[in-house]
Amino acid sequence: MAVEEGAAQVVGSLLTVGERVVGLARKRGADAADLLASRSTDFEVKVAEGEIVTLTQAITKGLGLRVFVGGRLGFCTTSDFGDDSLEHAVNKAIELARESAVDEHNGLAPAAVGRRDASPELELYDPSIPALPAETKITWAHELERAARAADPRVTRFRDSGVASGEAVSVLVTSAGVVRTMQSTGISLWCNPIAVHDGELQTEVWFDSRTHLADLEAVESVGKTAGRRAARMLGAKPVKTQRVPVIFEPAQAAGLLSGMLPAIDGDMVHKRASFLADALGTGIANPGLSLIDDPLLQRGVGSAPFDAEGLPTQRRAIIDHGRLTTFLYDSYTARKTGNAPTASARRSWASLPCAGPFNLHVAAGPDDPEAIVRRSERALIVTRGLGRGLNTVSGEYSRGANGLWVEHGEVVHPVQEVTIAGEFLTMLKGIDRIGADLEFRGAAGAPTLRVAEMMVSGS
Amino acid sequence: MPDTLTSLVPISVIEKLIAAALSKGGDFAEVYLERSRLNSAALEEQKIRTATHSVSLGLGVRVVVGTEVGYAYSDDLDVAALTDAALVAAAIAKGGKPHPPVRVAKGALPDRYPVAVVPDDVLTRAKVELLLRGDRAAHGHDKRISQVIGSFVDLTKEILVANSEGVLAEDRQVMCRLSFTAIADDGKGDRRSGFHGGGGRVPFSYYDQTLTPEAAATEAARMAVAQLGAVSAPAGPQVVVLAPGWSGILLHEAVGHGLEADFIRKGTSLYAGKLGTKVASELVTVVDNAELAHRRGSINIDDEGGVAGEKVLIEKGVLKGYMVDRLAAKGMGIAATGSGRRESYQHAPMPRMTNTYMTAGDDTPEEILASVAHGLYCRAFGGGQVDIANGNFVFEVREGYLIEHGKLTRPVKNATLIGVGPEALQKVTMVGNDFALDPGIGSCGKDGQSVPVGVGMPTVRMDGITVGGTDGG
Repeated sequence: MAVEEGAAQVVGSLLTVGERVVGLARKRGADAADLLASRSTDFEVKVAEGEIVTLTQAITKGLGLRVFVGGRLGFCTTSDFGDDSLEHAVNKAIELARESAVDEHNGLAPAAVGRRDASPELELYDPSIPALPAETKITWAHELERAARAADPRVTRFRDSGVASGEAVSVLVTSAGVVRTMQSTGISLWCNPIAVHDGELQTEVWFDSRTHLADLEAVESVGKTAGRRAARMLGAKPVKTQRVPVIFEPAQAAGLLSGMLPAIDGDMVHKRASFLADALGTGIANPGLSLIDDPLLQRGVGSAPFDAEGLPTQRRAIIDHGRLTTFLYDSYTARKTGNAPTASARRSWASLPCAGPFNLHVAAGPDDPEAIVRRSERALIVTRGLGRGLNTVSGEYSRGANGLWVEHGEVVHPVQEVTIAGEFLTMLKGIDRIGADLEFRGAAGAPTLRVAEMMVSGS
Repeated sequence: MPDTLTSLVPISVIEKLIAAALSKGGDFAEVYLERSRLNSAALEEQKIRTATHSVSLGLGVRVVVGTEVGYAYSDDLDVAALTDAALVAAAIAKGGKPHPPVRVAKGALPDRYPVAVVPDDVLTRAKVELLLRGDRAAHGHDKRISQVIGSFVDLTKEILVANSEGVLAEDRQVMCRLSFTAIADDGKGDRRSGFHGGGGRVPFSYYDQTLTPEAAATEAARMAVAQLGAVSAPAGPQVVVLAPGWSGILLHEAVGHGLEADFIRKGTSLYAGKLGTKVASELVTVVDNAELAHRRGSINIDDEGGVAGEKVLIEKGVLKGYMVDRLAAKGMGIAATGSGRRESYQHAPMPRMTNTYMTAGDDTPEEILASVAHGLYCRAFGGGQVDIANGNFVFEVREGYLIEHGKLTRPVKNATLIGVGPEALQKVTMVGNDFALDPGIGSCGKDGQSVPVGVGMPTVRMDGITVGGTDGG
């Protein structure tokens, strides 16, 4: 944790290590190799009831080396960049490759040779985040709590509230001469208050997460929203078991659609371990629904101009007006399944690449979110889910829910101890209202969605 | 064998780091040094797809002032970098008196999971062979098995904890986990998955006798095939019978998390202030036990250097105790129970479970099943989750059957069960004499930190648990 180096200097030293390791791997017998190396500086303060719960700071680094030896794959990671450790990592990766099976589809992605740096136009790095003093962030954490208390007198206890921030530099180096570099920043706020009344406890979390300080929801607003949301859950009870429309708040709607990710992973589809295995090109959702992955979203938390194998990324609709248009592939699964790679390889230094989205979101629709509620004769608004929900092999959905009960277009009481269930394809086709209120909190986003009918299990 | 931890960071340096951590005041400082060697092998499409090796090495420093905590960590073990980390953690204390120098010394520790050869030293070829054997067995089990995915993961983790109270403790925590997922496909659009696996802090020879790869993979295949043709699960409150073993996840979610003392201290758990009161049916006794030999959740010492033991949480329905780490012990004026755990050196510890289970009752599983006219039998489970404040918990049924007139009839589609902790445990009406622990595959997540745990339970009947199916009857 020496004096903080400049970002350009960090890129330079990671590239030096990366090129050395990849060169060494070739020398030791790898036909090809690639490596992702990162270094990040992280800060987190958590407070509760006016006290600091933990104040954590650290600088960490690591690299993951992938080698191909005679069509076999080996992988090794290390956070120690000393000579002996790097040597050990290379030898171990090659030794492990010998234990794997030959697979003709193994290999590097066909990325353009040469160096590319993430373009400044994407605006993934905000210098005001590393410059933010620890004292300011500690003050904000306390302010989150004060704002939550001020929102409702029944907000009297706290799990925690906090601020996390950091910056990261990562480089990709391949034996084919592909070099990619990226620098990014991030800052998050969260508040997790407990509202207490007559021995009943209800909690809620509200948060925001951005790459730029200027985009972050105001501290006061995050705290106040958290407090208000916790307090409105007091008095929650189950409803009778029945079929009703279910309205998903934006964050819940984003979670609902993200839950199907394993089912659109080209690898799972190939293994026929996905309920969508035969659905490509068919209508799987209401024609008003589009599910987009946009890696090039300016200032996006999940944005990157190239994937983890160096291929250039592009915006793509996974569901285009109700029709399933593509699965996601990294270069290996694309080759194996005879598809073009979708530049969807994601990896941290500690993991092998696999296919995934960057900024996955549901496109905004035409409906006023308040009108969706107002025009529902009877409905459950889901404000928080419990458990996993979707079985991506069978396509069945069943999940615990907290929420609000609507009668004649008005919220009449909070709800807990119920589950919502249905066949996921029926649910997607049954999405009959799409809000205009698309919002991102982190890398995933969605507007308010209404599913025309689901089974709500309660009393 | 690689170097010992104390050859990487000598005791004299650790003592200096504790002094640096307390150089700005503070009540307590702790150094946690960890080295993990993780190996994995993955099988898919009847071939070994990947074999990986990861080494993680780092040191965390914690400084406590009152109940406020400063934490810093470093993956660079250079003395200057470590001293910087200690000073960063020290900044939580603003201008107190420096602490006098500390000498640390080892005490006697239990040895609950001795293994002659650590899994990191077992040849990759032997691990790969387990996967290939399991794959053959699963495919051989039934023609409708269309896909088998196998995984073997082992961890050899060494930890050293030293603190300003003179504690010095070291432990070597090994872990093996073999698992298989099988997909059954009837060729008509019905696709079902089955999962089975097991392990713990066991020697590699565990897979020669106790759990062969054939047994694990065949069980995954059996589970997948058994669910083909599943009918919709009922919706609404039902009589539910839980199979022994993995169903202990019910306790983990319904009561376990709510009895972790950080939530109790801050009054954020619905179990706060309920010590000595009835929170479950008198048939229910729940224990958290770190001492079980070779179990996945067992530990010799917790990640604060304290000896972890057996804690009775609920005795015959009455709340008896909490799981307490140092910080909560100090804040609440009660004894720590050796429950401070952390995912890695990058995390401060907090109260966690180890092996949490319900003890056996008097009923035979046959009697329990025969007593149910209409209900749901839950044989295998996925994950679960709990809301500590309102006590709502869920757990997923991965393999379930309708009970009709005391007999298992048709398989039902996966469904989530939901309940409120204390109310749900009041609904326990029969407890079996067939206590079993889970096979050793569970991990528990809390505040972004994952730790290995165990659960256990006999066959249990519960009256009126809400089942999240789609069949409204």
